[in-house]
Amino acid sequence: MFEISDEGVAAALASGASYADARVVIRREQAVSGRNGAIEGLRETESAGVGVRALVGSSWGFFATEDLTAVGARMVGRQAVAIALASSTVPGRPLELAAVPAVVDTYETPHMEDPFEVSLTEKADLAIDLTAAMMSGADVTKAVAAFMFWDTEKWFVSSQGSRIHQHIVESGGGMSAVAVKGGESQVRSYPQSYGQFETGGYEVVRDLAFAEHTGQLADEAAALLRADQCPAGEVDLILDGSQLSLQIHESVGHAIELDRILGWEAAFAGTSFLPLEQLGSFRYGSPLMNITADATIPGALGTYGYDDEGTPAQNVTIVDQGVWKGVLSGRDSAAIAGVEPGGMVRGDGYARMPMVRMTNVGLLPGESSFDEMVADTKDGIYMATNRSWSIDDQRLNFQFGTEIGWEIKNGKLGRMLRNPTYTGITPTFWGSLDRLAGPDEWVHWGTPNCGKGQPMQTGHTGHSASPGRFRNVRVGVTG
Amino acid sequence: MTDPIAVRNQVLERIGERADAQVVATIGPSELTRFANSFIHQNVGEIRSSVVLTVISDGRVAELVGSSTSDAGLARLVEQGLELVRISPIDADWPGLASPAPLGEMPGRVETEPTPQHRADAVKSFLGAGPDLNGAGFCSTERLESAFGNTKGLMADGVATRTVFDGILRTDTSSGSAHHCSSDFQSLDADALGRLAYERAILGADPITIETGTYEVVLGHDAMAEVVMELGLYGFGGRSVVDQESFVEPGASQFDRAITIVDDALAPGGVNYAFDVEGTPKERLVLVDAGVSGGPCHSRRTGRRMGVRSNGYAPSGDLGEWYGGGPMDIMVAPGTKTVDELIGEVERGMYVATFNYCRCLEPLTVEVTGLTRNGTFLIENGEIVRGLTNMRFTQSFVEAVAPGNVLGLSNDPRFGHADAGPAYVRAPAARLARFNFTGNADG
Repeated sequence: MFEISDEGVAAALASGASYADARVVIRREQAVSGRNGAIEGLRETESAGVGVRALVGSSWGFFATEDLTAVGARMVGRQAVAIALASSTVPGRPLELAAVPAVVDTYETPHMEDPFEVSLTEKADLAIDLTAAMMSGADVTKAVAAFMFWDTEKWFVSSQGSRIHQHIVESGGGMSAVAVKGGESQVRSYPQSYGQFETGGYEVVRDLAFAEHTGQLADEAAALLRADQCPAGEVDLILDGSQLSLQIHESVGHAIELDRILGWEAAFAGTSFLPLEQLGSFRYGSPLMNITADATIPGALGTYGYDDEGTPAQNVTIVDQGVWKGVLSGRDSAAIAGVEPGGMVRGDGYARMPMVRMTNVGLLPGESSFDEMVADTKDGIYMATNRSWSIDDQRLNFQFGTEIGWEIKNGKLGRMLRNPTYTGITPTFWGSLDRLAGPDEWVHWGTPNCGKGQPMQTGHTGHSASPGRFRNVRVGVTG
Repeated sequence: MTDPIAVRNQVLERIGERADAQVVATIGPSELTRFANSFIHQNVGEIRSSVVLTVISDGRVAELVGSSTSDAGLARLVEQGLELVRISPIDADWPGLASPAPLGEMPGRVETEPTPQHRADAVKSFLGAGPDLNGAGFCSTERLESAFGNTKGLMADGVATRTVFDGILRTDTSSGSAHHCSSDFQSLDADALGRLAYERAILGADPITIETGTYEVVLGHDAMAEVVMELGLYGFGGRSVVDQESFVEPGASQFDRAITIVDDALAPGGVNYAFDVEGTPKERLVLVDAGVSGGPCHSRRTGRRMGVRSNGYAPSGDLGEWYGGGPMDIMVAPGTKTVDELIGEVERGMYVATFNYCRCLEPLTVEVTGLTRNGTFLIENGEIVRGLTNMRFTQSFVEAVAPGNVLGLSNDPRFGHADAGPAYVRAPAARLARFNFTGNADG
């Protein structure tokens, strides 16, 4: 396949590009879903094609086709340049690319059990059995389980000499029980809403031990229908690791994307409240806040060998003891901001232009524990498992809902609470972080549904987190 | 292969008598010109190709999606499908293939194919309306031809053309947006969009923050489209009904009498297909008639579960899959007033141009939280007096348009850009009696 990529790059250079790269991508996806004790869907998707990115002056041009022939690749290379040339109607300053070494290499996700070699029957039976078990619970009206697997091969060639072949394997799934009564619905999910996903094989699914959790989900979904409403007020808030992972994703991960900071996403995803001139000094949160973007964590969903510009995966410090130190960048944005390129540019398949993407943006663990946090909380709420999320276009004003909560009084978990929500302003919220559980409770959560870009791209990102406590947070927001 | 009809036919021929099957082939150019900081920074395109094959055999069902349209690629897709269905579990809920049925006449499609230069010129026009401001957005064009066929002899095909423009202009303290969606690039007036975005941005400069609480509002077309889209997805989709998670009670007066909503893929100016992914012709469906709930939308699967027939609403695309099908060609009947007249009737309230990042907290009440964006204004004594910082709302959309709450609709419905996309809802602006804002720039 390298030959196809070569043709695309050569055609783009011959047509006037100052730089070009090409990716042949063959991606196979498998989705198996069950519902209420029956199979709901079984789908296999295979996309294969070549996309060429060409730089002309101040603009990228990009074109893609499923025609994996030399003729198709050359057409794509020429078309990418033609599109970029049209951009000169509304030009900007010429775009430079931060230097990265030319690399010839291969990378493969370490995995034990090829998910596509595991029989469909086994996967379907699991989905059927899990949902049947959850449906046996009182008041449960719907039970769903879904498993997804991706096998992606990429052949990357750049006009600067890189030739990289990668094979990425991703696996995971999730399940939920829904109970409806009296004009209200409640849901409980495992391992988190929308599931848990990692780089790895079918062992990811086996290790999650889904069958051990069906009863708990059914019982809690039903119990929530009778639970008290989450009270409104300001309390100390303990978040479980999965909810904290989404808090990181939304209020840190997107905010530190350099393309957003530079205004490249202003009309759609938005910008960022972070002032680039204060990189290195801006107070993002409390001294307990230590965030890294580490694309090298074994098994985490945002892990790979090289990004889609050929830059090696790396571990970048983002927040150090509460001070903002780093960004997510690509070669173009890094050159503008004067930072080292972070190897964080990825595209969603062959037909999408790579863009700045979160890798594994995680909160390093602290020294406390969940039990210690609860024992140390006089008046608070513990919230677990995301149910809803919303944040403004600068990543400042957020509101999250979780599936379940528990009151904390005088160091003990008390009554269950339904419809828990909390809201805040990003730096204030992170500034109130005062306790963080340690490495034993630290999990590399995976988010397989991060939307960004135009045309829309879906990214797979990782977020390591352990439970944490935040002081004086506004909770119980309702309409 | 660039002809989806030929692709469809070849797939069905290859399947032959070996199994039942349905196939949807979609092919065509899809291009997008993106700008930021007032210059074009990303310019992309692709020849989109998708072949969705569903194979049914002995009660087993498997679905495959491929991007290859070559002879070899289609042959492989078919053989993979036959292999996959052999090892698939029994699908006891499979509703069967659709039978041949007459297809309604699709709205007129446009044969002109805009070039990258056409899109760049549109961007230039938009930015020209506010040369002293910072502009960002995109202009996209696509022409996708889709062909459906199944082994029961149902065949359908059509072309969907779509032009979308989405732009903002920003001052240091404010932003204004404008949106366009149509089937015809020629109808795009980027200069007018630029002037609207400029007006909103200038009017909103140096905004103030006001206290949270319940306000009377005038929702612009885009914000109203969001309200209607969420109601459609959570209330009128067949899956919501099957799951007992829909608020809709057909025949009940659940909306204000001013509200009439239909879903009609065949209406003039439409940008979608006249058939769903099961090949069922899309029907004009009354969702709300003068406040009285109708619907719901059904696919063959949800219809079977409810003992009714499909009316052409099988889920398609990510959005459809996510929600299990629902209205995608929504039209809200217009009112009689201009937007200025609606604003003129408000003693104290807000004008909200667009919403952003809306998420449903409770499907049975469609309680949604989200934010205002790119144009939030304070109205006093019937006039916009100044810009406001963005506000967070937490509001049941069912209650927002409940009996007595809709005080007026504008007479100029158009495609509104909801979070879900720009091509699903044609809505007027709306004056609503109460809307609950729960957060502001301070928290």
